[in-house]
Amino acid sequence: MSETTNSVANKDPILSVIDLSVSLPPRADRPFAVENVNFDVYPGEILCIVGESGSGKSMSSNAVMGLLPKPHVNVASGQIMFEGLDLTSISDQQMQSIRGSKIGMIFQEPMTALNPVMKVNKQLEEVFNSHHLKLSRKEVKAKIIEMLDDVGLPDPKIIGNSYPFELSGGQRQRVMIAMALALEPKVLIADEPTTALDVTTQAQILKLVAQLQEKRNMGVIFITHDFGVVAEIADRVIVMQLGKIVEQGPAEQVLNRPEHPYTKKLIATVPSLSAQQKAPVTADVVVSVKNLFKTYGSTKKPLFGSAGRIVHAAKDVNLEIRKGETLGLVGESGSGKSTVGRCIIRLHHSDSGVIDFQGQDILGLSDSQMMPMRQHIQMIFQDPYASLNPRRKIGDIITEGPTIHGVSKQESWKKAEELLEIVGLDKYALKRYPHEFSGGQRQRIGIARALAMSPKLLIADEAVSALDVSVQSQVLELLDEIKTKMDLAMLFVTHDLRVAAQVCDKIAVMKLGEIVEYGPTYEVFHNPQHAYTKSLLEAVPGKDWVVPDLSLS
Amino acid sequence: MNVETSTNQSQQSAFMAVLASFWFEFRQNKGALYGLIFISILAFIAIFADFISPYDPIEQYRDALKLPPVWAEGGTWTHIFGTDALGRDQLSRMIYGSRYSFYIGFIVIFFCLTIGIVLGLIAAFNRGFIENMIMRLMDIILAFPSLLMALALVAILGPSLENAMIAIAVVFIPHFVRLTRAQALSELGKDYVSSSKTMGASTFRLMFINVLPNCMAPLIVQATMSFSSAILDAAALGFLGMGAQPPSPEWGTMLADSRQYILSDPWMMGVPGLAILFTVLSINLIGDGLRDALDPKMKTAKG
Repeated sequence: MSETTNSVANKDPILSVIDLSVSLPPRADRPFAVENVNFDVYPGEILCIVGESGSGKSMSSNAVMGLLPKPHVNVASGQIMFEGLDLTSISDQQMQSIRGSKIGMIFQEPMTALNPVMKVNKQLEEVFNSHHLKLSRKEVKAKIIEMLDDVGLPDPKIIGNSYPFELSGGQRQRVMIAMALALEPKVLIADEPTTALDVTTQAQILKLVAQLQEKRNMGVIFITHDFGVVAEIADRVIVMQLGKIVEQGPAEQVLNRPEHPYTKKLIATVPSLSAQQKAPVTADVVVSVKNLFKTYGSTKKPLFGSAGRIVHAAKDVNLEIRKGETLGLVGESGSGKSTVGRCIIRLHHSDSGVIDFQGQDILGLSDSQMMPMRQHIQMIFQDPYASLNPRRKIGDIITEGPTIHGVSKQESWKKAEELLEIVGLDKYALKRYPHEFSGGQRQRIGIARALAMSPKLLIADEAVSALDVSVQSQVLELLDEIKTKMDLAMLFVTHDLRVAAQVCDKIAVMKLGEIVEYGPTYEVFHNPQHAYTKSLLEAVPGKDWVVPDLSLS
Repeated sequence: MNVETSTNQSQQSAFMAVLASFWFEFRQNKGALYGLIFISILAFIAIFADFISPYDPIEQYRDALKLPPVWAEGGTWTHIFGTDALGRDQLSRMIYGSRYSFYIGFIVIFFCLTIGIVLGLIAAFNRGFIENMIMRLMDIILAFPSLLMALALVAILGPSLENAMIAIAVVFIPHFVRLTRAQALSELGKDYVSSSKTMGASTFRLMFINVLPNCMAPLIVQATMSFSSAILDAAALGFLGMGAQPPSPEWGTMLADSRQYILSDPWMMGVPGLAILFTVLSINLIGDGLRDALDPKMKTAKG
């Protein structure tokens, strides 16, 4: 294990996890969150721990930091050796002095990991103060500015003087990194630090982590679920499944020649970034959107304060979707892609424009005129936990739509049974409540609910973004199958270019409410015209990694 | 114990499982459990008052005026809690008085819940003018000291128990409206509501079938807490002579009747006073237990 990569061959590990097991409370679904885990971290390397949700990847790093949610979750056995100390057996006080100064950590949500009512400067000062360093105020101040400069923040003085809410997500994550690195730790633990960020910001943060790691010769434990990120930065990779390490080795080896069946399965489900050339769809146009405008906020001056800011969520948006065609609407957060989807289904009011649905402008219809049109356009939502009513049975949820439109109860229940079969669940699910299902299963239920209306246009709003990669590929397969079987037009809203490359016939790239590029998927991916599209594609993590074809083995 | 409940859960239906886990959480709070026991006994007494009560609550025993309770000097077993200034048996009055407490609590809560939920949902679903009208009206009601407001209302409507209950309900409604609106607004942002909208669900359907069931947990807690406040306020109004009228054996009225004897015969006020105290305390304890058991955070941890 220690002779893994050339760069670390002759060094001693700075952190060794030996036979670590972390126990879960008695009512949990398995006895150990982490079971007999062994790994070493060497100075100057990035060790990626990958796995799906619930694989124990975060638990193993929390154990290192002594951040397990005690008393329910405890280290059951094993050692964590760091500088000759066993971190599992030292006192809380000793742990506190190590935490932050020798082992730093950055978290997924920069929004919640920073104190919202404290200026950035103050928070960084805290780090120094809590470790009783003999530094004068002046020295601390200089140090803070140096730190902020180090993590690539422009104008460290101004940034230091602002509150977290005044910063963007990427800037917050940089501040987090500055905090974690303030005392020059030897090990940095990064728990999904880029998951909540946009793809271009993510690329910058990944680059920053790699740079700092090299500069300071740190060991980095980088936890992620995204194989693209692994391909981008990892030196070595650990793959975890249900609390156990199933494979570990150099990144190049694990990514391209995985040995364990689970790793193979995971990698096989990673969508490739290269789009296939597809024949253009020439069937009838189902929906065409012309000159759609939508703004948030108003210029009207309120009684107190100044006039609000106007945000263009959709600015002269034009697009059309044909029968059996999937149009991908891609862009970063705040680009207005979801708004366009919601305007088409009339969940949001549009300011102006025409949405021509099979010859009828649905924007001009009154609510009661819209009623019969509702069944033709359906939507699948992002969060499978919030999109099903927790107090209603699955059967009631699926049959709600048809019942509203006058289908008899028996008939709609019968149809619901068939639909559940199509989406791969058995009919007993009808009598159960949403909380009894996993995220992937719930998303299938959401799809069944949309299909119960026999729609002609399906809007998938980030429908697979909240799912684990293996579940994601299954749901994508299901969506594709349904689309072909029922000859649906589909608007696929996503921020994930890999997914878009595999699913969509055409792509529309949105930026700040405007479509900046619109064309067949193959063209957009292999010959992007607009600078923004180019930068998006450039930022996709692991873009140079060609996902190996493992279907034969 | 943990293992046992989890195996039971898999065998029972979903509803029973929810109930079982609710009971498990509730039982953790010992205070709530004692409260529940006390209220159960009180409810039993109220229901079977006709059989339990030794005497008629308004019959006057002229030969036994201001008799002290049995444990005090001069007390007899014929009148365990003694008699009041008119010779009525205190124990019987207490027993029948418990009926009034439940009656007041339930009626007030019924009005508060129905009106509060309806107004709260209307406010949440009609953001803007209608919402502002409703919420500002509620703010105005809240701006008055609650007992003073109730007193003023009773003064307008005329002193009687029914009017006192209406007045108390009016004073409590704003809390329910605010709570319902806040809950409904947070639920409205969730995609299951959007989904129902895309199905073409009517506003009525969205309000009562989709959103309301998800708002009930905090409302139940609020209702329990208000139950005790209603009893307390009704007693206060009774004490001021604006609630239940003599000779009805309402606890607050009993307090008022015995006010002038507080120095010579303190037990005459003590008995109904303690009854009010324990009842209100028990219900509040139950409310706390409910809050813990219905806490949505605990639910997601399990889901």
